Amino acid sequence: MSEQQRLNNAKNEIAAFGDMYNRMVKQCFEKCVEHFHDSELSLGENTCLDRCVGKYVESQQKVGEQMSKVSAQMQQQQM
Amino acid sequence: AFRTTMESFNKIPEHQKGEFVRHIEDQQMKDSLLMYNHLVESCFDKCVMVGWGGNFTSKQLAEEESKCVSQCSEKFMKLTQRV
Repeated sequence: MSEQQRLNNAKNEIAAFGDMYNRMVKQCFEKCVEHFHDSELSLGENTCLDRCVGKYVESQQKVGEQMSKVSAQMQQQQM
Repeated sequence: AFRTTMESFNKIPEHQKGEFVRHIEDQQMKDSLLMYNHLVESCFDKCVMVGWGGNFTSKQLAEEESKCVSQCSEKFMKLTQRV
């Protein structure tokens, strides 16, 4: 792998992480924040957010496991 | 449109084709990462009911949520293979 490719791969990873972060923020905002009569996050909303982030990260891992499993199966079929 | 794409590729001079192939590989990596992120978001949205009315009890996925996410992603992978 050339130096340029390594650099590109690293750039892609960083971009993907930023993208994941934005999606997580969007999801957790939509699922946890429901009223705006107050500009402060309530205790319930804060708790919800902590849990939302935990669950989102765990979902990330689960999907990663599935993708590895399926691509391993595909590689086996090709052999 | 697909035919036009391949025609353009064939017109690239030989010494530039290597660079273009590397560009394709880079694009494929980007596409895979994007698809992965999109999949996580979609399955999370469909499967996880965090919030006022939902599963408020833990930072970890409940068993149904976990199973749902696994099945959601497996289904999606099979879908992409079929397409």
